[in-house]
Amino acid sequence: MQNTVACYKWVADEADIRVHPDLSVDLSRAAGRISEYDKHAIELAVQLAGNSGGQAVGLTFGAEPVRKSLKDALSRGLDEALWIKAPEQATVDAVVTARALAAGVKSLDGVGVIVCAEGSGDSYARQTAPRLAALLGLPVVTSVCEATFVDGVLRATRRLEDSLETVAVALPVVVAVLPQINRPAIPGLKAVMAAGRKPVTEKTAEELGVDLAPKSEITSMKGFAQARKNVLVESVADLVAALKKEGIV
Amino acid sequence: MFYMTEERQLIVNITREFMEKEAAPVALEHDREGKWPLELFRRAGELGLLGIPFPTEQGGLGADWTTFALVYEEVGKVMPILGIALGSSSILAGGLVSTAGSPEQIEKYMVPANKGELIFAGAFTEATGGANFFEMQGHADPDGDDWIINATKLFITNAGIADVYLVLVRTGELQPGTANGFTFFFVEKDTPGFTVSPPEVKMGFNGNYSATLTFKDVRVPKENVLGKAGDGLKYLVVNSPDEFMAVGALTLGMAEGAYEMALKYSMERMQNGKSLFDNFQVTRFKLANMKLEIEALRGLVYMAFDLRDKGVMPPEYGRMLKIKGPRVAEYVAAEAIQIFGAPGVVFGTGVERFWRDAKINFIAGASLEACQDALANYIRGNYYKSA
Repeated sequence: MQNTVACYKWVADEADIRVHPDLSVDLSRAAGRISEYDKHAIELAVQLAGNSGGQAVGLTFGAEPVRKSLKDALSRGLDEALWIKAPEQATVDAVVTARALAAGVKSLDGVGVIVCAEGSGDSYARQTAPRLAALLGLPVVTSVCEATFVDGVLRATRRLEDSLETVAVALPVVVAVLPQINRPAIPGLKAVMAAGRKPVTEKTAEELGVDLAPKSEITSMKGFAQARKNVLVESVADLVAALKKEGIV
Repeated sequence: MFYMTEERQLIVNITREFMEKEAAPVALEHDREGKWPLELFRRAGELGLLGIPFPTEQGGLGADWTTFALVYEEVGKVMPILGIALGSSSILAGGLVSTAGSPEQIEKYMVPANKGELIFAGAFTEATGGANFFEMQGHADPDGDDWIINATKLFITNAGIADVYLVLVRTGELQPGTANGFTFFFVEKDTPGFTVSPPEVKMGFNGNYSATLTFKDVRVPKENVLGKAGDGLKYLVVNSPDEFMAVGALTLGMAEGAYEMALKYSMERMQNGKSLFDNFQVTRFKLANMKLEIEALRGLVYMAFDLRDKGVMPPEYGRMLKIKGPRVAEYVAAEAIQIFGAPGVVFGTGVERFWRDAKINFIAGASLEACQDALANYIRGNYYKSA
């Protein structure tokens, strides 16, 4: 029996983020949500725990607003949740996050698989899983689009640029999954009501001895606008020629 | 908002996820093709969107009415006909069964209905009388242990798709000043003598069926009587505010759906290098007034549902929502079309669907005028009571 951990992040809802004409990014009206990518990680963790007869544990790190994520995560089939609470004013980068998650995993028993999304809905830095694995001294399998237990090992298929690679890896292991791996189920309202009765453990970063000193800082954030070339064409032949010139056809 | 809790917010988010991922991609197709949303209805049942306010022992969610309203509002934003399908089964008919059904009827009908495995339709309206049930001609007569039903019911929502019809007919002489003499019967869809006409072709709510039901010497056993014979109209009087309130929540969502479309369009449609919103005061004022009406309706809706949850809601609030909700939804949708200009009147952009659907709510269930009349009667009664 192996327990499975799903790491997830509470991010600003992309639908609420506004980019002003000067390309400055306005997050002030953005509500929080579990990163869409992380819902795939949760789905896989629940599935693997079901296959192994173990528990699926949600693991998250962040300040007070993260509390809002707990019932949502638990309604998606997780058995329990562990929240590593960050100080309100902490500057958190990928290194700090990985340290906190590693401390969280170490506090759990019988963990076989730690599932992360390949990237998060805000920065998509793709650093959490490799850094977490390094801190835990575990193997990491990234870009996973399929994963299952076979004879006590995890068999995972990696989607690479132009090929699929299947690996078998002994447990415990950290995996980073792509959205193609599954279609997260929308939880039923009964699961939402039941989520409030599932166990949640809160631990502060200080309690777990997490080093909160970041290694990087965000110096600026700008929206991205696709520049248009505004090429006018007068015929289909002109259009084809313009597309050829751009290397599109 | 005073009515929002963490759990309710999560339920709203889950409903929004369902509506965005599964309903939104097909909503306009159902409107265009007039196709009843059976698959979505079943999914809604799986997710627990039916039976929200009903007890868990009836297969319901055991949540409160405010939670129901929040869910219904989300449904209305994206696909009003799904709300009509759900509400007609769950609240209009299901509410009666929840209130008056025997344990056997709850088990047989209500539990599967709350899971979306069984669809109800409530059959009340007839050609004569309309909302005045005392002019009802449809009747049932006892025959041994059975009842024989003869009736024609018009504009019945979910007709032709429902598995079980809850039919209101006269079962005795009218007794002036009382609501006695009316009975609800469960009639299953394959019962001999029961037929359903093809659905009406309507201006709105396309994809939800409204049709004529004919009951010709339809024989049902006495076990198919809902509650007590003769008390049908009493059950309806108790439950009808819930149906009207559901319309309030649904039309709030419809107004918001149309408003969001118009706001986005006004921000993104450029003229002379500026958005419509920034270019024209008239557009900004339209959106400001639309927002104002929506928030006023929201206040009324959630105040009424809050009072409903506390068990102290005066029944006239149901009628207030049935009047105010469709008015706001129709006004906002009409203004949204105006902001869109020519694309607003083209089938397929979706904004005009909100207007067509909103207009139906002026009449479906009970006309605005009938609701105003009842509200006026209440005002008069209250005046003399307090005088």
